[in-house]
Amino acid sequence: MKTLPINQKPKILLAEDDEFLSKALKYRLEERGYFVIHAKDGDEALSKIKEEQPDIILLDIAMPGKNGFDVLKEIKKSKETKKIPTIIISNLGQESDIEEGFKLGASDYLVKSDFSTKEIVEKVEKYLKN
Amino acid sequence: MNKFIRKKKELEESGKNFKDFVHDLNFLVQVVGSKGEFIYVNKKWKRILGYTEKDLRKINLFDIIRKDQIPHRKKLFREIIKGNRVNNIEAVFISKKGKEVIVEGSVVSTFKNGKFLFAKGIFNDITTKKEIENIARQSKEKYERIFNNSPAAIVILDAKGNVIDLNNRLKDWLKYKSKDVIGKNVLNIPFIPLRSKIVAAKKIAQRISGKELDPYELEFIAKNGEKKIGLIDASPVKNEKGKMIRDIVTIYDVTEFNKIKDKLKESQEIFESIVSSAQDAIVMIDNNGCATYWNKAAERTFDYKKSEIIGKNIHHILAPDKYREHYEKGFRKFNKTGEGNAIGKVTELSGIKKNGIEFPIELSLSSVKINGKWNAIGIIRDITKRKEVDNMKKEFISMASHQLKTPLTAISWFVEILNDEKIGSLNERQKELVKDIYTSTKQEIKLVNDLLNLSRLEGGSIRIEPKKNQYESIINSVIKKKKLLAEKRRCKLLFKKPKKRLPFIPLDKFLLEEIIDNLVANAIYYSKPESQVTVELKKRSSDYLLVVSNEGIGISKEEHKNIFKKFFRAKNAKKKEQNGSGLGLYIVKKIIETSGGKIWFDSEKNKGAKFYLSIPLSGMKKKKGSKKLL
Repeated sequence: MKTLPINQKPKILLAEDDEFLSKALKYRLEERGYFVIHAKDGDEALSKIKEEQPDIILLDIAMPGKNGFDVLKEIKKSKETKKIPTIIISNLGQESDIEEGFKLGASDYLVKSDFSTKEIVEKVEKYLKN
Repeated sequence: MNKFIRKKKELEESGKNFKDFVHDLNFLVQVVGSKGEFIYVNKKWKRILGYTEKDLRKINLFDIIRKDQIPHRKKLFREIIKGNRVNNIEAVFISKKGKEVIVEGSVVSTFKNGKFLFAKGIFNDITTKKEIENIARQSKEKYERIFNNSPAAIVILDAKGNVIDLNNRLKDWLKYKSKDVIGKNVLNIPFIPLRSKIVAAKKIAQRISGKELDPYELEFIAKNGEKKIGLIDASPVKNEKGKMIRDIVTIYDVTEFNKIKDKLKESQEIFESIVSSAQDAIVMIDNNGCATYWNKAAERTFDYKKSEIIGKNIHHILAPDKYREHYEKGFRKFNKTGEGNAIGKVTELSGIKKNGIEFPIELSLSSVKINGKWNAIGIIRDITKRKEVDNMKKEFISMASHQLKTPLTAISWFVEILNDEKIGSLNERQKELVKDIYTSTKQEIKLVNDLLNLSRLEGGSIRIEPKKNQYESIINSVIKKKKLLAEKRRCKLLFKKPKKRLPFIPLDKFLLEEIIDNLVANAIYYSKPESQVTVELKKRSSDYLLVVSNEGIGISKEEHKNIFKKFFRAKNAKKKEQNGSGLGLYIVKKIIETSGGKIWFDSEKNKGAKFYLSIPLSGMKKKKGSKKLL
């Protein structure tokens, strides 16, 4: 993918409290030409989503303050944001968590430890195309 | 002359008078001649024996004597003819009607000029008296038989309390002879020890005062020193004036019975102390569903006192309404058969405390038949705490695995980026090290997942969801995935398919793949280079048998028993492959057994191994649960 000017680059909101995971993902996504907005907790994520209206959201569950499920509920409540594809990235892999995620309207649910960054980027591309 | 005639006449008169007197006498009178011929019999004789004058002309004395007495009577008659008077004769005559008539009397002979004229016999009819005597004798014998053979010991006392008689049973029981006891006062009998005398004296005093006594127990000492316990039941014999003349004391041996009673009491006390100190509620209900037993822990668990619950329908008080219909149906069946869905099992339910709060319980029920009716015994445990701990454990495991996985994920992602060489190229040595970091990180992630799976399997929360699947195609997909590993390890991976294509059966594809993946990976890891790993699937009469075999390092006999144990790794396996958690086969066995299958193996050190996996023809068994494997 060739480098696009910032205002034409797809905008990704990455809500992830872990410093290292977000660093690795941010690097990978930027490398692929995305504009990455990072939020390190639920509240920051919500305000940035409203403010920036990203094209896609990568959302962790276990975060300080509002957790990923709370954030997802709010996203889906608001007219402006409910159509933004939201992929949950979490290491919480219990059935109940996954069911909850889909019930709240997540486009996908990726258990981080089972995926490489490459595979995550591929998923992002897939949902952006749709 | 006239005087003589008058005298004769007078004599004749008096003779006639005498004859009449004899004739009417209330005795049997007979006069017989020397041959036993009847000369005279009186009225009573005729009436009792029934013979007429006419009959008497034809018969003699020996015709009316009972046959067995004839020889003796003849001998006696000869004596009489000789002139000996015989008193106290007892004879049995046979009446005309054939009835025996027992007579008693004397016979005297009359002689004239030394010549025998006749024998006069005078008898009393003693038939009735004899009969009465007989009856009396028989009843005396009967009484003695009963008295002596009675299973109870009997002592007969007179009005003063002196022993008149005692029966055999008493003698056998206490080893005393009649002479040791008879004539002694009841309070001086050798087999009654002092403390019993005190009791007995009191009881006797009460009886004398006219009080009716219930049977009471008394201790005796037998002659051999053995202690015996008797149950005393005395009944007085009173005369017409109501005065006690005899006291019949019956003593039942209750020594053994008391021992059993004591044992029973003892075991009842043990039972009581166990039950009352039990931490779990122990409850018994009768065939109406009403409580008959309620221990201390039951009081603590439900907050109802024993007095509040005994006799009441337990289910209506302690169980939430949601169970009502189910319970009533079940109870009707239980009432008839002693069986039910919950009998013999441990069931998790909920109960209601006195304050109305519903709480989780674990109930184990068993049935017992009492007097032909089914009763149920329930052991109830309040599992509120356990549930809390379970939840905490689940949360902890989930959090811990999450926390462990996060940095591991980060490492693997950074390694992946390094490996891409977009931020700078790596030399061969660096590349190798980066790859090693990646491999061990992936292993670590697998270990965390295995630990999580372990807790799910052991907690019973694992879900098995068999769907119609083709066994062969599941194996194929595993083989495909393992091709790369086999190539790396220079192994030939071969799948021997069954001759006929197999039908679709219920299989949990995900779990079965996990199992087969594990077995095939092990076979590859522990095989020798350039050897072959074979996966063979066979349909047998009762199951599908999967055999995964290799030509590898094998398993030494002494380690066989440990192979399926948690965290166990064989020595030679550790040497060959340093990595491995020792959880794979443990998890495989857990899953396969939970789904109704079996696993076993054949192996010898250095001779390869064959693992067998058997799944019933009906497929894998469904199991409800909240979790899948990771």
